[in-house]
Amino acid sequence: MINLINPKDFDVLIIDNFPANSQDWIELNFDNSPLKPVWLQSSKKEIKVKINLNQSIEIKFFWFQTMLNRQTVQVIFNLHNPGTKLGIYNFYHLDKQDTVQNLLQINHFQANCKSFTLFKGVLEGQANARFVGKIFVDPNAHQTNAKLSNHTVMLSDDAKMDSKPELEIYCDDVKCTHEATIGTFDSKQNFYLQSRGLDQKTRNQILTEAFLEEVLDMIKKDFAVD
Amino acid sequence: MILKRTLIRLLIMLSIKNLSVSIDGKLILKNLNLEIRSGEVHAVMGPNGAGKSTLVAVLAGQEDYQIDTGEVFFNGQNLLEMEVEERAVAGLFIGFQNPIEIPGVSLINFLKAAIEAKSKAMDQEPPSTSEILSKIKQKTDFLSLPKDFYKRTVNANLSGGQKKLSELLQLAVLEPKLAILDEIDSGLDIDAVKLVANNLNKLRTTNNSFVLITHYQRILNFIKPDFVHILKHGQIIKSGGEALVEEIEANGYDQFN
Ligand SMILES: Nc1ncnc2c1ncn2[C@@H]1O[C@H](COP(=O)(O)OP(=O)(O)O)[C@@H](O)[C@H]1O
Ligand SMILES: [Mg+2]
Repeated sequence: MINLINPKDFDVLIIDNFPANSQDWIELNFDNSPLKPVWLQSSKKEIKVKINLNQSIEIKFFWFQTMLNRQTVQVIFNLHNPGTKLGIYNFYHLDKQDTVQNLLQINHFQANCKSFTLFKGVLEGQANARFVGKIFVDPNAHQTNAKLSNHTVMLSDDAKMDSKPELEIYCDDVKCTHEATIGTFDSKQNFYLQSRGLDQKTRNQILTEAFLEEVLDMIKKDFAVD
Repeated sequence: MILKRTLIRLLIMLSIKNLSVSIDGKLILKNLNLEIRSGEVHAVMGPNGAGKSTLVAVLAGQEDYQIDTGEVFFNGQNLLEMEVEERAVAGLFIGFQNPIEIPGVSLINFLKAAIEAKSKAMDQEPPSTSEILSKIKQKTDFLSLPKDFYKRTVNANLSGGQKKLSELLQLAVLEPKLAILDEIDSGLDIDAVKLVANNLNKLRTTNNSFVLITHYQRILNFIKPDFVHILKHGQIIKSGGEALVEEIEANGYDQFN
């Protein structure tokens, strides 16, 4: 599955190597727009990262979660400058007893910033996932354009998904949307694959890979907020 | 004489007997009978709403259809009791009127999985990836398709005509015993119809059979069917040879009741 992601398309950033402060928060500061999206990697069970975007830059972050016994990722994004563009992308494919939490906060402190957040994933077995995504818009953050989406496909009745997109907005002239869906793969697509002889396991695998491809495709597109 | 009859029975590929099907309590197919032998090409023709796609859906194994009466045997196996994927690996290929788009899945990966499924069902070692690729390339050439056609996605971002060609490539690679093609000619301009028909002619052998389901006689100018059946109001109201196609062309479906 992870083989579908080409590391060359990304700036790989292993965050386990960064020093943390006393509360275990790792602070990452970005002053320039990187040429490639940043792929955050960590093998830790608890990750707390504060990402400060200190200039009006364009930046995308991606991380991927699979075969993880347990992981909690807490990330705070601070958009400190007007005109910043931020993309946050994630894919999770969890099975067995995997338990994963992604807790995000996206702080729009300044005007004319864009943030686009897309979390997609597939849950099998007794996997348990939780997503909390909060967009905070400061009174100064006029013309903010923010979108947050979370789409999960459940392949098992025993898997659990808890998805909470939240908005906290203190400014009038902004455009903020969120959406969360929990469902199954498209039954027509599933039938088409089945009618060519593919068993259920193979169908799920192919459609899961296609679901990941959709995230990878979105990363290639410009900050697709609208 | 007895020997000859046994032989003919053995060669029956598909046998549909007294098949009646309804959807949501509405009777769509009524006492349908059809027998197809190895090497034959049948055309099933009929106006919109006749029940052509319903027949295809039932043979494909789509849910939501109520089989009221009848039975279907495919090479001696009770088709209606088989899972959808079992039908495919047993050698049944359905060409859909509206092939489903699957963005993010390439034709080559899809075909690789389908070939592997077939090998698995036959308890054979699947061919290697390079063998699969060379087979797909060879079939791509054979059908005069663009060289990189197999790199495209499964029907997503393809035109109507390209979707039909995508299904033809699948057909050529999977080499089914029986192909049932639902309006493979619809939405194509005359050159595309010719290309599709010529390719189908190339894929014909004495061991495989085709059912061409169509509203129009156009494609049948390029592929000569052995038998023609007229399906109207869920019933086969007339069967015959090629000459029936000309009758339909001349006077439409209204003359048959
Ligand atoms: N899913 C469905 N639910 C209800 N009625 C259907 C459905 N599919 C087809 N029908 C009806 O069955 C009849 C036959 O349709 P169809 O098999 O698509 O005909 P054809 O392919 O010959 O144009 C039509 O009257 C159509 O309205
Ligand atoms: Mg139809």
